[in-house]
Amino acid sequence: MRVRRPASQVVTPKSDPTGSIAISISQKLGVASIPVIASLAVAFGLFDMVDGVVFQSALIQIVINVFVILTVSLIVVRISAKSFLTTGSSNLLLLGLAVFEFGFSSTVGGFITGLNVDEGIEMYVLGALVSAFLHLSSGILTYKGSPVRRTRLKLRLGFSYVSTTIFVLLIGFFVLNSSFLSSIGQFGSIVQRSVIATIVVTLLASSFFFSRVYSRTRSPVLYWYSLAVATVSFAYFAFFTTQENGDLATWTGIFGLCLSSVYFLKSVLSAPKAISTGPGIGATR
Amino acid sequence: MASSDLKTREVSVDRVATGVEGFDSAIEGGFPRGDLILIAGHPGSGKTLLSSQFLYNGASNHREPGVYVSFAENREAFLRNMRRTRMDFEKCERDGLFKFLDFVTVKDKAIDEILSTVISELDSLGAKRLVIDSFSAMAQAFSRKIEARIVLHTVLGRMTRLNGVTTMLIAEKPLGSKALGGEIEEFVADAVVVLTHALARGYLVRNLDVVKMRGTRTSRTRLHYDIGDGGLVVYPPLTPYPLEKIYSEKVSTGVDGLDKMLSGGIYKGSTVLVMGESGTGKTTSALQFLARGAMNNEKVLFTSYEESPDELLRHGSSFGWKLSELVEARKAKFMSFFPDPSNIQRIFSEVRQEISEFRPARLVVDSLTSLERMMDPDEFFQVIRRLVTLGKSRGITCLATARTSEGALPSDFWVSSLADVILSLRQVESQSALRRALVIFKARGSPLDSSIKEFEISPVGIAVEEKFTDLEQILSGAPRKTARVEGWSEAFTARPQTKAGSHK
Repeated sequence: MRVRRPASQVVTPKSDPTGSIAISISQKLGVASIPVIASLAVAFGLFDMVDGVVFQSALIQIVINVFVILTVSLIVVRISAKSFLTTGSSNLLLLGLAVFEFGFSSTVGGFITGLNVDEGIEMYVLGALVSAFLHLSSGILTYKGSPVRRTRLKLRLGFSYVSTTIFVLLIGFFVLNSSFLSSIGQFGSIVQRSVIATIVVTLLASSFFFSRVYSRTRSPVLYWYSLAVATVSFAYFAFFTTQENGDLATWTGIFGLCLSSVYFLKSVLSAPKAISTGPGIGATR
Repeated sequence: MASSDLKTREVSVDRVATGVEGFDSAIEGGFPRGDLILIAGHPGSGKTLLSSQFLYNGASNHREPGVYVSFAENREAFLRNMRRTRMDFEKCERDGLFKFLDFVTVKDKAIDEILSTVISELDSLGAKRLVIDSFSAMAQAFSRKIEARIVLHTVLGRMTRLNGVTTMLIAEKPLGSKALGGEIEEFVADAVVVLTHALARGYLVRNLDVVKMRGTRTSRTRLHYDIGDGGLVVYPPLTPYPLEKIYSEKVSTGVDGLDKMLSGGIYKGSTVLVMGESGTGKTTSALQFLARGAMNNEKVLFTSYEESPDELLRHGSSFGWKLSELVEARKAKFMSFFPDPSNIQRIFSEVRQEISEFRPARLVVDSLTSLERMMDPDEFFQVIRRLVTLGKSRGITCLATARTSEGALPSDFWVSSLADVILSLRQVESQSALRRALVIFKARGSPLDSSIKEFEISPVGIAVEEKFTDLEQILSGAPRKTARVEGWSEAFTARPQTKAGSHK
């Protein structure tokens, strides 16, 4: 007879002998990184503690965007897409789209930065804004309970991702060819600060919703996911404080994005590799 | 002692062919001349027919006169029955090659007279073959067993040996009896052949056992026979072929993706076992294997035990394989049988003959399950072993299909160990649809891709796709979603707790 472990047991972190939920050291370190990023952003951006240190490298940004942010986002997209096909849950589709949108627009933004820094930043910010709202939608649905689609899942998935790809490319096109949104790329402009502030708040809000679900389920997947979203939020807070492209606040933000990628990856890896503890194939006969 | 001294010397023995198809080859060409042979058998097992064929073959093919001593049926009945099996004994009589001695009504006091009549007729005809039908009836004329033994030893035994008359004694073996005859003749006779029949799955199966044959190497396995229009036909034992060649050349399975998984295909002369549930694509894969071979200018033979040739041709044409043209061009041949325990040996005989005449490079057996159902396990094992060695000895690449139950493993099909390549096709239920999975369990002498791949039966045949990433435990027969996807999904789809539920 096959022995199946209840699903709730699968996503529950290890319990100590007293029955209380144990949080691993890596999880504690993860939480500690948030105030570090916030402090560095405040110190470098708002208080100009190390003034005049500026390093600009479009190449490094492209490498980070392609090999870190885009790669990790595609990993998250893959598992989210499969999860959506399996469950039909809309929050999973939105979550995947949010991460894809963020990774893809960052990559496009990285290439545009090589041509024009302001336009590249404009691309980053607009991409992050859309991604933040998608994340918020996903967070709310996750918290409240997501509607479940039963039909044409592959079609919905394909349509959504193709639409997002086209949307990001259109933003890139407008950024390069229109001055309508150019103020978003200008450092210190009110428009830019407002948009980035919106991103920060929206991402924090979505992180909050994910963390609320975590407090209910104690799923390490959600723990790392909400932490990753929060880290992106604080990375953008660092960009919010940036005075000049390439200053230490900018690099704090880039570091925050890299760290968030690690947390996204941790979230995926926290999903158990094997659930069944039942007997082997031969024993099931 | 030198090893050469241990070798057995071949002794040349003059043999008398019975003319029974398949039987002479099983007894080194025939009975040693002058032997006394006991043919024991159940009623209706063909004793009279076998002995008549023995006489008729001698008369018509070797011009050896023969005498038939009957205690069972009169001459008219005998000749009438023999005409039905196309044996013209009347002509043999006219030619002076046959004599029928009718002793249907025999008395105790007449036995000496009968024996002298028989001896006299043998001498006058110069007979070389003698049949006594039946010795059981003749023995009833003896008041004591010792008299029958004396007659057997002295009169029949010595007379036949001295004159080189090969004699068949027919003994009646009642149904259910373990004794062969009168408990004497089997010890005196040089050879004992037992004909029996039994019911297997509602069909009458005829068996022939050569229990004893002095100076002859005989088959140690039970032989099967049938009674047809031409008399008895004995089917040779399913012994394995000698393995002489090893082929290192690889041939395509017909499915490119599968060839890739098998590092370029399968070795020529190997045997592939395709296992799977009903509807998984076993026959399609077999047809694809066949079509590829024929398109590569190889001769191919498809033996089906479930579908007719027309059905198979239609099946193939639905994938665009012009099998009819290949059949017309004599590159492909389709044979169809519906086996039952009584005809299975005849089927093997026909297939064997077709293989020797058509000389295919590829052979398909679809499916072994239909054969297995109709055979004893030991016989089935021998069939598979013969199939495997046939391929290896003659360079014929064989593909056999076997229907298995859901989630079955190679060990569930107990003869699978004989196959060189084992391929399993599965149906996988996922998202209210059936998907198909393919896995190679075994490929002797060849590196293989052991991943479980999804495949599709496309309009052009079987196409292997990527490996399954979203399902696991497919082989268990109870596939489930990949754990990581499941764990991820569950984390984000946990339903909000209600107030009623939260305080529990």
